[in-house]
Amino acid sequence: MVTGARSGSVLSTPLQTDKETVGALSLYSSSPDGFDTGERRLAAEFARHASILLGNAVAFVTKDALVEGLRVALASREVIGIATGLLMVQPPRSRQAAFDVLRRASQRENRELRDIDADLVVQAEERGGPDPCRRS
Amino acid sequence: MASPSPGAVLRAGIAHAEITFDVLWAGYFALGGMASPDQLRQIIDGNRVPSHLDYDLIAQAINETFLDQGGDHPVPYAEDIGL
Repeated sequence: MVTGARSGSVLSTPLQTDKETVGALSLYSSSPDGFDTGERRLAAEFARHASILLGNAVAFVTKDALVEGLRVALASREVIGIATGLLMVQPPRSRQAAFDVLRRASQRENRELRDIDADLVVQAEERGGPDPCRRS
Repeated sequence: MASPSPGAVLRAGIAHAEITFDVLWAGYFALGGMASPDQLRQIIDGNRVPSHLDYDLIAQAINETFLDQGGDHPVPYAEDIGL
């Protein structure tokens, strides 16, 4: 946004990645036809470098969010898988029947399934015997 | 009166929850769902009949977005719609 001095000319250069336009570099001059060939070339070169930096920043943020989302999803999946397995063993029941037990508890207590399942896993650990895989 | 189709029930729940497809698939996957995004899309569009379990996982994923907003479980489960 330009405030104060009146602009006589504007030089605007897009900031582009391979996939999209991520912004624009706009330079203002109080003189009409205020940018010569060298200055235009310099602005284009600066915009090229800024585009690379911005593109990398966008890719980094997107990748970071994707990794975090997958981390949370996989952690949830593991807890739910363990809880479902526990319910399938005693008494023996199908995966569907085990899931029904868990989602009914979610409805009854108005809590997310992973929280219900996390409690179940903690309870199982607390009443569990010695780890059969541990060496004495 | 015939029961509504699974896809129609799920589409209504998605619209009510105002969630994107990506958010839905992430929630479904986090609950243990095995369907790919393409397969999930087919179920939602009514072009693929879900298993009882897959339907319930999708319904749960939608319902959990209501829990985040202080709501309840408005999307019916498979046994509720006679799947």
